[in-house]
Amino acid sequence: MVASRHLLLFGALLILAVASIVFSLLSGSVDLPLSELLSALFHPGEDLAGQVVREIRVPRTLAAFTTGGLLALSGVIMQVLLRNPLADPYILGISGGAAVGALSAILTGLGGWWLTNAAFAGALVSVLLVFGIANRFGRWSVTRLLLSGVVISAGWGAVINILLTTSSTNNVQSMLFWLMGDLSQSQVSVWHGLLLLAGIVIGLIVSRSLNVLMRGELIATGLGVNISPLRILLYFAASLLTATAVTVAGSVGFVGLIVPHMLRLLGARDHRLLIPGSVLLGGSFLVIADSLARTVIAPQQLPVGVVTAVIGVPAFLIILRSTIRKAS
Amino acid sequence: MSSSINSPMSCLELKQLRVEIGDKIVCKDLSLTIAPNERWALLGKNGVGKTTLLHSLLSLHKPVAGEIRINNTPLVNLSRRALARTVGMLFQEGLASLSATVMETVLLGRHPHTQSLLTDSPEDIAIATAALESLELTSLADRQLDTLSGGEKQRLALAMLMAQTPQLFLLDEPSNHLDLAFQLRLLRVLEQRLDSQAACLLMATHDINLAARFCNRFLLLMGNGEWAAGTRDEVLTEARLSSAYDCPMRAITVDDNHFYFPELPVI
Repeated sequence: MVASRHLLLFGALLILAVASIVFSLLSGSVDLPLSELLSALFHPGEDLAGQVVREIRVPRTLAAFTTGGLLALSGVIMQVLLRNPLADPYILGISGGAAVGALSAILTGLGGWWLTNAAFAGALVSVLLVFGIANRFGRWSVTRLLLSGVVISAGWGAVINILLTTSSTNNVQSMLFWLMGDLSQSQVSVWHGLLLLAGIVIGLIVSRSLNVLMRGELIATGLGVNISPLRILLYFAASLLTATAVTVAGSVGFVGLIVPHMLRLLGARDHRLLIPGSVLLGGSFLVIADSLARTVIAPQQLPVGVVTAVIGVPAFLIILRSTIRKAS
Repeated sequence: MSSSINSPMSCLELKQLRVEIGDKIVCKDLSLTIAPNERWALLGKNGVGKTTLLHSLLSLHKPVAGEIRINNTPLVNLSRRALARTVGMLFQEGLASLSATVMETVLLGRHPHTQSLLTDSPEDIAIATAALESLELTSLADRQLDTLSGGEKQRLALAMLMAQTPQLFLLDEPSNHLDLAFQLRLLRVLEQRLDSQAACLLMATHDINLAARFCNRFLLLMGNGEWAAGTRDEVLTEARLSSAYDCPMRAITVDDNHFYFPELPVI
């Protein structure tokens, strides 16, 4: 009975993912009917519509879906690792480190390849720093990890503010876009897709253990889970997923925090469903948010990180309300 | 085969065990054997280290010296998962309130046995259902954890432990939150399980009377590393109990039932 309900939810998420991708491919400054979109996708020609779809909309939609999937998956993992419903992919300071890297690149006038790699390097420094501090005295407690992450985050925040206040107006504009999360410069390669896939596979392999770990350290250990290596795996997996997402799109907020909770409210508490489900919902969510970000005030674009909150808050509240009503 | 002839069958064997926590000695030179079908009570005053000793048997706390053998295998040679298939523990901390149903929770007890990566086997579901049944939780199967009372949660934790089907049950204050009728029912459920599967049990409890009624072996921690182990008549004497609990204790017998209580202070 539970299994069939899970399949139903998973099916709905698959349909949502396809629908959101079609919606994204149809939205933009050039109006395209569905028939033209299909012919542009499957019968490539030299026409303008085909070029717009294949060279602009498809890459951007893929970037949005991959980033959303990476963030939501990382959010699920962080929430188990820290056993804290407020945990999100950025809570341990990864986005702060990445931001300092990216902003330094912008400040020195470097872009493109440099910006991406500076962001990734910053994220990596933060990951190792937090791990080193949390691990310093042998015992690895969740509280110590959380505190180390929050403190390092605050440190990065100060550096970011220094960079913002001392930069020229031009730079500040692009810095703010990066900080809010923006997909207009984003490119994903097949590697990003493979990383996401690897994240899903690893997540599914440990999904049963995650269900047990949610119940607490003692219970998980008593049921045969070797928690120390599992936690280290989770920490580095979530960190790598977040670092990758951040280098693609900046610090897109909200997806990693809210998507796992939405699914839990919809009944997907079991990680065997929550892990693939979060990737689908996170991907769809960011694809829809990005479609809106580039169309609502076209030809100007909004940073996608703003739109995720604008549509995420009401969506989350509606789900919360309906599940509370169902329960009472 | 030769080893089982030489040494008697045992679920748990402790040899010269010394357990410490902080600067406190829980037990020193503790040697005892728990055989199948034996029901041991672990007694002692607050803070004497009952929980720590139970944690040592589950590799959650490292003894200072001595050896622990589970089914004739040294504890240190067992993987976490293999250990969880043989030894199951009811923790004093109980279940955390989170968003999950009773059925989802009891199924987690099967974790050390699951083979399939993603699906729950019909066998696991059957065992979990039977565990719910045995603790009279069947009607609550679809209820959310955070809507349960303290007693219902304790029963659920016990159902999870039943679903784990261990051979050695370690129980830390199993009667917490349970009313008297349910305490007795729980003991009957455990008794049936021990009889049918040749399992054994060690339970830490403050309730000497419940222990005296249900258990047939007793381990009393005296508080300075000293200990006493054996049958009721050997261990539960007024002198030993008075010394262990730091207050004068009396023992009386009513209709073949033995009762122990602190002597009332003269005011």
